[in-house]
Amino acid sequence: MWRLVASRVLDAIPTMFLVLTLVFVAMRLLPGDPAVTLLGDHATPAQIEAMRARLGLDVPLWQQYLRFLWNALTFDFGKSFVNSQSVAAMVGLNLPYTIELTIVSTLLGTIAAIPLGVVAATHRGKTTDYVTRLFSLAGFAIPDFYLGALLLITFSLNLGWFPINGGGQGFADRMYHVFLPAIALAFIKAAFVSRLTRSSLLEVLNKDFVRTARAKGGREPRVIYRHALRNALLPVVTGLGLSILSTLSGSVAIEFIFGRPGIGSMLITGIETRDYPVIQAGIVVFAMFVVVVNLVMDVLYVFIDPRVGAVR
Amino acid sequence: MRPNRRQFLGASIAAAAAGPFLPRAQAQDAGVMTFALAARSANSLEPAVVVQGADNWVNMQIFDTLVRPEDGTFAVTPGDFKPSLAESWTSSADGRTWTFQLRKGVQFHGGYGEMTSDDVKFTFERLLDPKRPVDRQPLYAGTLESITAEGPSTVVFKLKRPDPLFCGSILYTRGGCIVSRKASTERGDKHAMNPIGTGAYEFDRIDPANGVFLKAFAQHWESPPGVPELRFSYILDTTARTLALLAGKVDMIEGVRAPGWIPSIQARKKDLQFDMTAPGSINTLHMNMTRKPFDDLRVRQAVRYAIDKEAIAKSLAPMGKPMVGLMAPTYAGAVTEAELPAELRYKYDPDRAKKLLAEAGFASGLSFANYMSTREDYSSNMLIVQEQLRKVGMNMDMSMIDHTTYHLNNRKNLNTLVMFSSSYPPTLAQIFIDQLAKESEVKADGTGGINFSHYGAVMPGIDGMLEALDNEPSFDAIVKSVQQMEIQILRDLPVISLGSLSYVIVRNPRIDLGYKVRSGYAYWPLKRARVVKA
Amino acid sequence: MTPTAETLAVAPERGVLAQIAISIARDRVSLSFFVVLVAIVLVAVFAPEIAPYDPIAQSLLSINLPPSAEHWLGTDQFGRDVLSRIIYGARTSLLLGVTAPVIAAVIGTLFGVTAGYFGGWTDRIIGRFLDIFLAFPALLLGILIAAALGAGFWNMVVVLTVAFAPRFARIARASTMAIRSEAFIEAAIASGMRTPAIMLHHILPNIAGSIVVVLTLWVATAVRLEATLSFLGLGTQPPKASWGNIIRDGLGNLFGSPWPIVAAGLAITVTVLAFNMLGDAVRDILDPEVRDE
Repeated sequence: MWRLVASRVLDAIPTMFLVLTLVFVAMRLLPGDPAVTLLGDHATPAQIEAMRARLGLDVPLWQQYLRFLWNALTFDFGKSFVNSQSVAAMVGLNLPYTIELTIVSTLLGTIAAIPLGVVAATHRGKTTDYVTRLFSLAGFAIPDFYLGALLLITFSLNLGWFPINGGGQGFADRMYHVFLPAIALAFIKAAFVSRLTRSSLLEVLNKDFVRTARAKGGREPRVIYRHALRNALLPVVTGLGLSILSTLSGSVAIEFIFGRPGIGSMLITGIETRDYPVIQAGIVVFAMFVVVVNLVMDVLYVFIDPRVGAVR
Repeated sequence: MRPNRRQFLGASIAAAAAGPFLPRAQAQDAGVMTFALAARSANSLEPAVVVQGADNWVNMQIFDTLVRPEDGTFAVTPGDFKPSLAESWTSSADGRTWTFQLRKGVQFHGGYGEMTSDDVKFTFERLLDPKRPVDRQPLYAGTLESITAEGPSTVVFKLKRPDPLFCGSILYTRGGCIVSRKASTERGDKHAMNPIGTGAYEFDRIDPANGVFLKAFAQHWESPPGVPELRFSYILDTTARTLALLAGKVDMIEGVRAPGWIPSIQARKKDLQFDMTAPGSINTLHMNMTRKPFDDLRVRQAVRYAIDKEAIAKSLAPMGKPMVGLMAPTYAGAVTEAELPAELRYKYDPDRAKKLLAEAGFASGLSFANYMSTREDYSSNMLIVQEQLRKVGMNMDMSMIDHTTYHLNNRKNLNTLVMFSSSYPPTLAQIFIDQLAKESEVKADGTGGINFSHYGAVMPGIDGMLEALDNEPSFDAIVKSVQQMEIQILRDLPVISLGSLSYVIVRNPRIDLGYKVRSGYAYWPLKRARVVKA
Repeated sequence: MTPTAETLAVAPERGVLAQIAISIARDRVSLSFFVVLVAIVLVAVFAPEIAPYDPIAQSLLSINLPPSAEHWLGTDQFGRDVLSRIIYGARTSLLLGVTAPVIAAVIGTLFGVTAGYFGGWTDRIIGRFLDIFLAFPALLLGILIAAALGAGFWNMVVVLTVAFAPRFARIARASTMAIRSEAFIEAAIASGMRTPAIMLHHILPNIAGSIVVVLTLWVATAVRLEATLSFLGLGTQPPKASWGNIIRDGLGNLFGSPWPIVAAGLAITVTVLAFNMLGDAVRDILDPEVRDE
């Protein structure tokens, strides 16, 4: 397994390198000059020149690129152009909220989804299956930001059960703050994962070993949860990986609506203010997130189905 | 969706049931006042550097200026200024030498000692360093010749040109916030995130997750503020910010300057208080005369007749007000409609607009491309303008771009109809110098100014009159001249004023501001505020 | 794509279309959603005839009105009729929802087939680029591109194409690799047939099924993303109506009238749902193996 991990990490290196290069190019293609953004409408050319020098934008592009690569390599994200805060500290502040949102929404989604998927598969073609299917289709169809807005209006504004915005402080308070946003994101996850569970379980239920287990007189729940589900989980894990990555997208709009801190909103503000160091850090973090999630999924894959590891 | 009694009851039961889980609502604390700003974070608490509007709110509480207007007003004439860190002042007959006697015993925060003439000298001299990122540097550099400390409590300013409104144009500005030489030098760049001033509130800490915390400065030269702790939180999203206020989580928020916003939140919570400045910002629409067909006066007049200022103002009520020229109606130098010759009153008249277009050869209408900022006040104004122009056959093909890029494109002369929102104190000719003088002409390489219409360059403008002002020490003479410029601009129409738009703060009624906000900059002092309902 | 390629690619699917139709007709739920979908398409096509008002005409004296007999869904902050905007919004959504995935499918297939057919270094280089684009969530790509290009319909098409094309490429590559070693391909090569001709006449018709499946699924995603990007202010340009825009505008007047948000959200939900059902039906018949979301 460690060989697999090592080879995956090595695989990720050229990807990361290309991502970094792409980010660098993309940022220089963004219209707008950070120095002008910082100085406002009345800046003089002398001021702009001085500011560019201060931000390290006066050296040739290739030097900026090398410096950028080196800094990324050493995890030195520098200081925000806009508010001179350390970008590493900004990431440190925002990342936990995004991770928290991802974990809680994934947990909520999965906890709801797997039993749903199982019920749908075992009651195939019956009303329960239809209802589950409708639920999952609805989950796909409702935009997360729309659901978020509805939850916010109903439960925070009208009923006052949940906080209006912010990230909260201390474990209990943070969980309290993350609940509604996580529900908004969990819905689509539940939809996705329950469908995957259903189809994957249906496939497995037709396999010989399940029939054997049934023939041996195993009780149905035992057959399903012990034998079938474990085998059916394989595609579900992959699906979960994909869905975690899609949370990153969803989190941008959700953070926006719920006024939560997070990497998504940090990145959007960074782009708006042409804050290169913040954009760089945000995208590097996102890319790392993707690499790490994929890595974990691969390892989990091996864990659930050791044959995969043997083949490699 | 209107809240009814049952919902409120439900909410309180839920709150009781949730018990320990519910974080204590900050806004209910009698010793704390919370203000949600429309920004992502505090960017700079170095007052002279600030370009983000929200930061001014914080700086306003931390710093004092030498003179100030009555709270809640703009000083319109030189006599309207009140002593602050300066106790008294005199100016020479030619308006070029100003001498200030400083208040004695004023303390800086954090044990940085007494404020002296040396700190004042330092404050203003640093504005002149061409490499420093000082906002509106040309204004300071163009006015200040020298600053001399004569003894510990006398400061003498020598000006390059006479300026009867020196107190307003230079002293009561962000750059005029007095900083400590010692603290600024010692802290260097870090001063921007850990500032030292003499204001009623001193900086306590920045918590990136929760905002900026200020505490009452017990040694302030006036009486200390009424609320011991002042918190600024940062909620950029307008909906989230509004919700925070409605839920009582914050006491004050920066308002949303979009049509219908005020009536809609008033419907939700009837007792909300609105503090509004008049005029607020002046929204101008520059017509780029280097681009066809806006080089044709008839086309510009058509635009002017097509725009219904009254309707714009009404949709933005109560924040929006129609304007005649570029000077706000409350400012000295403004012209009223009655004073104008009939042909310069430009009453809303779409038929006339169509006729003018036909005369200019566009009987079947015309199309042009235009950039627009996504910022709410810009986009709402311009969407209205776009629709009004469409009605007379002018099709504005609009590209919405983010605010940064929008300004950059404007500065590079890439735009056709440039909306520009600016805020000026009642200093007389500044808006003309900035936006209509030949020397401020926008340049394709971005090094020019913000005269987006090229007035004075592609056609004779008001430069002669502006030049004459340079050596004019008489306030009344300047007022006369400004009125003449207004009329000249209405005749040539390089620019149209779309109206003024108030800055608005919405306040929970548990806070009493202590005075009435009438005019002034987009930020004001909070030291007189009190919590009236716990 | 040349006309020949199109006919070739579509021709073998005729029977399949009939199959899809039969399967939809059989399933009552699918059928009802198919009817809904047809209705939405009709609304989009005949928007000018159906809409009671001009969707961009303002009426500054009657802003933020609640629903009434004149304005069934009330008016927005510029006094525009919300119902008319929602009706025109269907146009925006469908136009983008179909255009972008189709362009992405064409480009993605081109790359995928090339990679799958040639293998080796070509495959490795293309594969690496696919990895990078797949590493970015579509929305983030969208935000970056929208920041660089500005908002607007064609820019959004670029955004969605860049986001989707790698997904199509992946499917096309895998399908091509699967048939690359088949005897009839080898035979075609041996007969001296030129590579583009082989791709066109032998590979494309055989992988078209999987591509069509993925295409129907991505239409729904495109509609959702359009709404999200417009909601974030990076999509459809005001004053043009888009469901995402309507929600964005509606948030400002949440306290006065929530109807625009509720209605526009429902419109998105129903449309995406209908496309998903269609996609499902197509998938069940064409290719039960494809599970790319």
